[in-house]
Amino acid sequence: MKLRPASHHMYQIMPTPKATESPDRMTPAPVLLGMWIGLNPKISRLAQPVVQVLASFPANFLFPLFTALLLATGVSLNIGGIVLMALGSQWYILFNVVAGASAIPNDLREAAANLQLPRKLWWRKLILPAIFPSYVTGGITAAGGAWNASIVAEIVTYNGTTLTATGLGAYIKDATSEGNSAHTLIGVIVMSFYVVAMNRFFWRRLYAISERRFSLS
Amino acid sequence: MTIDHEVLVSVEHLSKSFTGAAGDTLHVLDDINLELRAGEIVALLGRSGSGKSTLLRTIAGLISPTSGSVRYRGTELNGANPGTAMVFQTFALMPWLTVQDNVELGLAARGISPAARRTRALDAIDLIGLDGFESAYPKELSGGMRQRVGFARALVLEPDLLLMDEPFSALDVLTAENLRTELMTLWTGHNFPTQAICLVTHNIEEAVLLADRVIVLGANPGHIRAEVPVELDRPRDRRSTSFSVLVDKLYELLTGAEPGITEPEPTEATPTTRPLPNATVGGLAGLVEIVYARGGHADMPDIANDLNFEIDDLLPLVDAAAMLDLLHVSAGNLELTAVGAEFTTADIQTSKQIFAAQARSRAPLVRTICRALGASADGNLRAGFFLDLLARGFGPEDARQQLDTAIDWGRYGELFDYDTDTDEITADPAAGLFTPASA
Repeated sequence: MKLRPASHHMYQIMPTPKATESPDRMTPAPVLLGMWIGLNPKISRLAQPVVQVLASFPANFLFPLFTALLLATGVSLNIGGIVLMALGSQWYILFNVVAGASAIPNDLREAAANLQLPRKLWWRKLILPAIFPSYVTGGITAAGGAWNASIVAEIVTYNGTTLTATGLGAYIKDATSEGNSAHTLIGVIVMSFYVVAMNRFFWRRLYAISERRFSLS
Repeated sequence: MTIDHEVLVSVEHLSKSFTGAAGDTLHVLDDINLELRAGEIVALLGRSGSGKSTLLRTIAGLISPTSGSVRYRGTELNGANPGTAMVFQTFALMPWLTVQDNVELGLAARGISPAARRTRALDAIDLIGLDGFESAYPKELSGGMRQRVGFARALVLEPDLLLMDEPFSALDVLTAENLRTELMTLWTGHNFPTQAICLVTHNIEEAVLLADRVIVLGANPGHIRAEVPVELDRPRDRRSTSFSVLVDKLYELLTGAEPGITEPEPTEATPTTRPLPNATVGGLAGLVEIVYARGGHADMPDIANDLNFEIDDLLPLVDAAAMLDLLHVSAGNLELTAVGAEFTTADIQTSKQIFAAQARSRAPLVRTICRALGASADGNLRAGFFLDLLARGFGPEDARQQLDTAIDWGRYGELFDYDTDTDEITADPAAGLFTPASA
């Protein structure tokens, strides 16, 4: 059990950002759910308002409950923090995948049915390529949300006990609450550097590929 | 070319209805019986709303019937029809696959090995004239080339029956003509990988050019109106008399009353027995002018050609002009009536009055609106009242369409007006529909 009292913490000079891990670890669920909702017009009509209401519920409200769960099960916040960050940001992926799935042109679906594509080919050659641009858009937004969430998710408190993860978000939050403006500045600069680097070298490239090869227009 | 009589697909007592979002039932097809045999090309011809695309999709197994059956070689369909391959109006190519990958897709679905797939795909690409474009993406191709890929993808599977859903209507006239001719050359060349073709079209000339049999479908609900055999030798000449005779006959079948059914006269019909055609005043007035300019007589195929009109553009105008007794239609020919001549030659005010008089007496929905306004308390009525009336016989979209047309005609004839904000139809005081009760 990795419980650290709030006053003693040591950080590496460049803590590993966990926000990058969050969207990737959690994606199959929102993709599959989004697919199912998007491809069925009847379910779409019912599910959309429900999903929108659930999404507008601030994930932060769940943090104390979640912290209690972590304390009870003894799972480290290094791992649990990923789930916390994902809680808020997965909605973006879900929304975009729902939109992407419902926008798959009908004639392509009919062609796939006419060619009698088996399940595997149906996924590989029609569905996944078709929703790829929507997934990338959702992923970019989700990643942004996760970065924000990392600042609150890496130090969580329940009932007087504080859990800390090793991370940039925790660093910034600590520095802010201590009033240490120099450390806060360093933390924010490092985070900005990571965000810009991720966007430039990963997300922008992915987006360019999705526009060039996978767009439907 | 001798025609085998082996029946590939048989459609028996097929009916199809859809339930709309509002819970209403839309009857798209009613009791269709059809046989598609090896060695023949069959065209399904009809106006929009006649259910021809739905019929094609039930044959392909993409839609399941509400009642009745579709059989492929005697076995009833369970999902997609294994003996068919379809070519789509919008090409339906996967944008992220190259031409070759697109063509190979159906073969991959059947579990054919990569090497065998490659050879067969390249052969099909060669046959259809796409040699050299194997690694191109659909985005890089013109419409005609994309449709060729669609053909290659279907033909590489060597299906018994090739289904085509308005395959040339998304192409420009010249490319369409080019592809049609090539298709026919392949078909008559005895090297064609399929045994029969069934195509959906709303182009009468295309049907006569390609098909051995033309099945004319009527709407509301979709049903087979007539079957016309085309016994001309290929290659067919558009300018020959026998060709024109068939085209005329098909125009007649598409504009005339149902064979064997007498339709009520416009002066006596109700809004449900004689729906309002989807024609604006400008459109139908323009048509009447054109007939006048040709000396009062015109041939429908000629007008369609000159104006580059599809039947879905032209026939609603013809129906509207006939309903208002501005034109007389018989056997594919249009003749200007006396009223029509007056209407065209008069000045704007007089022509409006003539139009108003004709619409009021001969357009059932307009007549109903006028009467209802006359009987109302203050000359105003909610538009929803008429939509409810129309809902008895038509789906919500169709009903709205007819009401919009009636409002267009009513406004032009200065009979009544429509306020979008309050959704109310108001009688025009000058029309004398409504006399306010004196207090």
